Amino acid sequence: MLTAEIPDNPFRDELATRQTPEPCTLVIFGATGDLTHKLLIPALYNLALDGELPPTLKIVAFARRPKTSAEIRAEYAATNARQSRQGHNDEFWDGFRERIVYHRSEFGDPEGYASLGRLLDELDAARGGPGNRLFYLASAPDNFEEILAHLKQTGLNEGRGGGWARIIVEKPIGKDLASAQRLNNTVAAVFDERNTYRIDHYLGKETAQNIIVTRFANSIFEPLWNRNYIDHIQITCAENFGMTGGRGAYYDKAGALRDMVQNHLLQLLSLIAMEPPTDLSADSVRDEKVKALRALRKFNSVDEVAQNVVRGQYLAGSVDGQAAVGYRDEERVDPQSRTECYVAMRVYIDTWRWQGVPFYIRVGKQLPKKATEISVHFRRAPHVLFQTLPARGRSNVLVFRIQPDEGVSLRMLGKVPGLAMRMEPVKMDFRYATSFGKPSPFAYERLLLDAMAGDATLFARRDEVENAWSFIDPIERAWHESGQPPLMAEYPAGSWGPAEADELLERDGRSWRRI
Amino acid sequence: MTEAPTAPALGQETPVSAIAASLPALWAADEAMTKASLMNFAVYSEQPGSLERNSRLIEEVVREHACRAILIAAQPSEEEARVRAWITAHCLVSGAGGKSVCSEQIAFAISGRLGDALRNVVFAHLESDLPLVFFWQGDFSDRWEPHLYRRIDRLVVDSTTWTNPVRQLKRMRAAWRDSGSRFVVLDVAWMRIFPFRQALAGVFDTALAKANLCRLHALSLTHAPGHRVTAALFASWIAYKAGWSLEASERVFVEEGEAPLSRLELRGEGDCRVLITLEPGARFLHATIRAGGQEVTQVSPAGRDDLATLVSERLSRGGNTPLYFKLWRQVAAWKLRFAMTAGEPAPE
Repeated sequence: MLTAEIPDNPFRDELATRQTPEPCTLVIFGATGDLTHKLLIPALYNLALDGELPPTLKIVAFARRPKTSAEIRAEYAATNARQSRQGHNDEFWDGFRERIVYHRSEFGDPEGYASLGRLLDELDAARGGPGNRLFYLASAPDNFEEILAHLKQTGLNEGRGGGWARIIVEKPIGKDLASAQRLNNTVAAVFDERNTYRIDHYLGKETAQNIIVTRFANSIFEPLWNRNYIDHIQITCAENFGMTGGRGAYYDKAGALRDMVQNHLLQLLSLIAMEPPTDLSADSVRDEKVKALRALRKFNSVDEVAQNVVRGQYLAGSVDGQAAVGYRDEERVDPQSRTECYVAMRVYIDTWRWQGVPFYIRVGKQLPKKATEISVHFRRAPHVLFQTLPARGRSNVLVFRIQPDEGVSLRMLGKVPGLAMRMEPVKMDFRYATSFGKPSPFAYERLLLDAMAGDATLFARRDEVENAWSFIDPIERAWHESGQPPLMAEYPAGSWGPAEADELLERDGRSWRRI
Repeated sequence: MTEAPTAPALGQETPVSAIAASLPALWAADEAMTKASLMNFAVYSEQPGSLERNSRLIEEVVREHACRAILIAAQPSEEEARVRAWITAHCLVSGAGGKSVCSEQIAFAISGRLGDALRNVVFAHLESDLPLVFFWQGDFSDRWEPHLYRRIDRLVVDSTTWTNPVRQLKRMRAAWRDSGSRFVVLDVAWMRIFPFRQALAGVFDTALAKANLCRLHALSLTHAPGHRVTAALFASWIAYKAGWSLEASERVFVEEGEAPLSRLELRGEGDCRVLITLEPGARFLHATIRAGGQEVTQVSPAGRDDLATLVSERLSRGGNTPLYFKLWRQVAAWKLRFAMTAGEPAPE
């Protein structure tokens, strides 16, 4: 017999060590696109397989192409079999696929949204409980405003029966500050900021989250985390491929600065540079990140851009033993293109903590290897005892490897065994794959669950995005609107970027970390 | 005589006094090997043949939990007082870079009245600064004593292997209190329940089940012979979470089949019913909630029941020791009859 008051779902307690995702319906706009096929459906499938997905979650695949639910399920099954982290199990898929419903509509057709509303009501009724809806803008960005407007017109931006309605917005969030503000205004007219989740999948990566843990859960680092002990910081995102898979059309309009620096790399920078948050709530963490972004020293003239930023394009070369064409010869790239596929820059954060500490950022296509990492270069110790020894490699370097081979390493000096006093750098290395055999969930898995649970910590807030654009815009203007734009440097595919990028650091007596 | 393992899994026999010096040699031979360790994992057993068995267990566990493994097989009834030791490494090729990632294993066979040898061989061979996870297999013996348990961080047990679960539980709880609640208890039997707990939580995510929870009041659990502990813990957890007293007439335990748990049925007024089943050999649980003429079904992962998987999963999740003991108090109050195997009464 019943003897106590029952909480919401008493059996959910203690099953998870994270906020519990709430039962809801996920509506994916752009359901026939690559993002949905290759990332979203496999992420949802793996979450279900791990028992993490609310069992009553339904997925509405919203797209323009004429298809049936059976057809889209079969297509998803085929890609899931190739993409799923844990493989594809037919028996489990048979249950999982029942969650998926295809809804065909043009993005601009009001009737498509009216019928979507009726479908969602039916799904809510079948599930029972509040009508929680999670909308995912996975379509081309050109469609965002139209979709949002229709969601508002049909009242789908509100939950039903005490439920919630949230929106996940994929990058790019604008192409400059003005367009980002316009998009943010459009989103804000439809969804509250607390219900808006701007996805940056870098933040879902294990090592990106580990930056906060390493910095604030270990007492040995934070006392050194300032201008007194840190000489400089490097953030590198290298890719060893070019415009594969027809990517040239999008990329040639965006460029490395907008595609990577404005979002992923500035997010990493803000995690490295932020002050300790008062707690780990979404707003506390994002408040501190946005302060770091706001303190980025902007470039006020074309000259300042030329002095601090290098842009480049790759020429023909060789990558992974294969001949590689130059950027302008890539498929779907303008042969006269002035779009950068390499950026290196020196930036400063004008805060008490970081005054005078340069942050060097570089990102590029067709570099020798794929690697994203942050390296914190500490000042050299006052080696009065060892003045006669070579200086190279004498500073301590703490490296966060974001991908691949996620981990953290620390370079320090050790005495070489022997009668002579010789020092050599040695590396202490923590590798996720070695220490934790279990593979990490993909970034999208974590982020989708967070959105269902209402945890926005790993999503970009409006002011983060706009402050990042405020920093990026003067560089874009100097490159594309000035009468005397800084030069476009060149580098052979398969090399570590243009010589000008090396000179940027050499002028400061530094060099890029060897990766 | 002490069991004399010859299985290659135990590696090279080494004098106890030479273990510290011999371990580095495991690594000197091959530069491609990387040693990894996140914890000290000691496994103690008084069962014959346990070293080889536990070495195979460690080989699986290190896939997810790199550790310094210390296996101890004790034969207290042997006349000759002797300690033998073997060292080896369990290696697997990691995904990134194809390096061999290895965990060290030291195995000890202790025979005779060398009571102190247990804690000594454990403490002398711990990797410094790493937590000590101790898997005590079977009933607690005289070797379960304060100098040992006060230094354990996490205690792994499998309560289904206890000859008298309530008595063993009391002994473990006394040690836990004596240690100042220092160690966390991780019962493998608790992990066997996990897929059913997860499925049940999924059922009660539906409004239909939530609305009818208060109408449910009778529970029936089907479990394999020897798994009444598992079923009792699950029933106790359900009762605790739902706020039920679960009188004797409201709970039924059925011994049947091979899966530790194969069927949960909650019944209530009218047609109100929750059913979770695991078919023999199936990988997924099927759950149904029926009430007021409506029915909802769900499928969820069934998990695996081999010891290595259960231990690995258990180590990955935290433990709520006070809740665990609270559930056991309920189980003890039910005065259930436990049997190690079908038809065999538990000794008093």
